[in-house]
Amino acid sequence: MTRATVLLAALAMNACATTILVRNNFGTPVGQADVYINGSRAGATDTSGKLTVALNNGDHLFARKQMYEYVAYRGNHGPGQGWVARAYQTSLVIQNDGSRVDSTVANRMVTQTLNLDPNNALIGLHIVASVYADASQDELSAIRDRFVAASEYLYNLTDGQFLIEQLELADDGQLWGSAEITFHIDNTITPFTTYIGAFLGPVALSAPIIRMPPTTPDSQTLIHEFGHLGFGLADEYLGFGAGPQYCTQARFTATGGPFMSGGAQASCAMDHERYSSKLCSNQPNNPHHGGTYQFGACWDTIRFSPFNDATSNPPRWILQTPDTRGAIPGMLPPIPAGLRPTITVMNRTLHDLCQPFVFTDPSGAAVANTVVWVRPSFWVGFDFTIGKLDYKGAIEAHGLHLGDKIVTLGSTVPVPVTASMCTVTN
Amino acid sequence: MVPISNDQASGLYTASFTIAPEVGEGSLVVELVDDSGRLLDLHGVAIAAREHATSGPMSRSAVDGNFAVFTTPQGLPPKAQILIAALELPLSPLPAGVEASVVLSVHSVTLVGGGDAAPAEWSVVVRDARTNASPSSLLFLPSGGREWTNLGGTRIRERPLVAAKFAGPGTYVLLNRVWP
Repeated sequence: MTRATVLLAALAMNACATTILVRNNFGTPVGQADVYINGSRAGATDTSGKLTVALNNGDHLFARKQMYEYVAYRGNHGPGQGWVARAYQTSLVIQNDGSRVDSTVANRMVTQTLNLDPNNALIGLHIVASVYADASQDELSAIRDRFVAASEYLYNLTDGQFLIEQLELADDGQLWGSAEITFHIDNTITPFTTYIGAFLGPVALSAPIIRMPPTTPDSQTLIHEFGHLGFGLADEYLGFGAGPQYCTQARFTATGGPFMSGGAQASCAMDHERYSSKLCSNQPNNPHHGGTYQFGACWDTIRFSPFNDATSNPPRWILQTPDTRGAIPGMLPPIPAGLRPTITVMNRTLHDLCQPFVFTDPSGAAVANTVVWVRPSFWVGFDFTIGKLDYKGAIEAHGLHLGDKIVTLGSTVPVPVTASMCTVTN
Repeated sequence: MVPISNDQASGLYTASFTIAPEVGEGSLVVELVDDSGRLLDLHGVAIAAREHATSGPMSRSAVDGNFAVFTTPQGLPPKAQILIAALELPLSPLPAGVEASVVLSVHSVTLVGGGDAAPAEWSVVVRDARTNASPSSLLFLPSGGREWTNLGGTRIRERPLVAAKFAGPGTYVLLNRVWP
C-alpha cells in the first residue's frame, strides 16, 4: 500500500467519524467521561472533552462522569483500599413519567454534544457476595442472575439513580470476611441484615452483613435487605401501636390505580418488596404512612444519607426524590446494557460435589421440623446444619459431597451420601 | 472443644466461650456419643450478641434470622447488648400438654449491660414459615420464672411472621397450635 493510499484511507475513515463533545452544566468540556452508544460503552473523552467515533443517524448517546468514589472499608473490593460505590453525573434525564431521555443523533456529520448535569445522578454499587458452601456452577449462575435482576429492580425503585455496578460472587467461603451479602447452607435462614446503614462504613468494630438462605428467594428481597444495609431504612411492615402497619394507604387498601399493591408506582419496598416498585415519599398522591419503624419517608432518609453529596458547594451530584421532582416517576425502561453489573464468579471446584438433592428421612413425617446435621467427609472439620425437615420429613440439601453423612433425629445411624442420591457436578 | 461443667443439682451443663465483638455471633455444637464413641445425636445453639442501637429503631436478629427484637433507643443504655440464642428446645420444661413436636422455634433473650426493662415500644417477631397460615401461639417464660404465658401474637399481613410485644428477657417459643 502506498503512502498516498494510506492517507486516502485515513481521510475516508475520518469522513465517517463523528466527534462527541461532553460538557458539564457550566458548559466546560469534560475529560475522562464515559460515552455510550446505543447503551454500550464506546470509550472515554480526551482532555478536551471529545471522543471521535463512527456514528449513524438515529444512534442514541449518553455520557457519564465519575464524580466521587466511596472507599471500601471491607477487603477485596478492588486495588488499594477498593471501592464500594461510585457517584456519577450523567446526561440521561429521567422524566416524571418514568421515560428516560438520551441524545439521538439527527445529523452524524456535526458534533454531538452531551450535557452532564448534577441533577442526573447515578450511584453504582460494588458488592461482594460469598456462598458459605461449595456450590455448583449452576447454583452460582442462578445467584448471579438474581443480582442482575436485583439491579434492574433497584434501578426502577430509585428512579434510575442506583444500580449494581460490580459484583464478585464466590463459593466455598471465599471472600467471606469481605462480603456484604452471605449465602448460607441452612435452609431455615430468613433473609435479614445484622445492622442497618452499614454499607458505606462500619458500625463500631463490626462489619454488618446481609444474610441469605442457600438460594435467594427472589431478586427483590436482595434489594429490600440492601435498603437496610445500604440506605439505612427500617421495615415498614412493623411499627408502633396496634397496627396494622403499612407504608402507604393505597397499597394497603386501594383496589385500582398505579399505587395499589403490585401497581407500577406502588410503595414501599421496605413494606413489601414483591408488591412495590418504588420507595415511599411525601408526595400527596401516595404519601408515607406514619407509625412504622421507618421514621419518615424512605426517600427522606436516602436524601440525607452519605449517598448524597453534602460536602461540595455546588453539589457534584444531587439525588432526586419524588418530593424534589414533584411527582412519583412511572416504570423505567431497563438499564442500558453498558450499565448492567460486571460480575465475576469465583467457583472453587472441589471433588464429588452433589447437585442439590432432596433427602427424605427414613422416619418421614414422624420427624418433621427437626434439625438436619451433616458430618462432612472432608470439606470442613466440624458438623453443621443444613436446616430442618419439612412436614414430609424431607429437605433439599445444598453443598453436600459424596461420603458426607446426614444425621437426623430419625436416623439410628448417620446416613451416608451415596451416588444413588447424588448427581456429582465436579 | 470448649470446657464444660455440670451442675448436678439441676442436671444442666455449662459451657463458656467467647464471642468476638467484631463478629457478634457464635455457635455451640453438642455431640452426644455412647461409651464406644458412636455418635448418638447432634445438637446445637447459635448465639447472637447484638449491640443495642441508640441511633434509631433497629431489628436485632437471631443468627438464623427467624426471631428478632425490634428495638427503639429507649430502654437500654448505650453499649448494652441483646443476646439472642436460637435453641432446639427450652432448658425449662414446656408447659403441661405441650409436646416438643408442636414447637416451631425456640429463642431466648438476655439483656447485658442494662436493666431488665421491657420498653413498651419494643416488639418481637418470629418466623412462622408454614404456608397454610394455621393458628399459632407465642409462649413466653421469663428468665428465672416458672410460669409460661401466652403472648398471643399477630400474624403480619403478607409475611410469614408473627409479632408480639417484647415481654422482656426470657424464652420465646412458637407453637404450631393454639395454647392452651
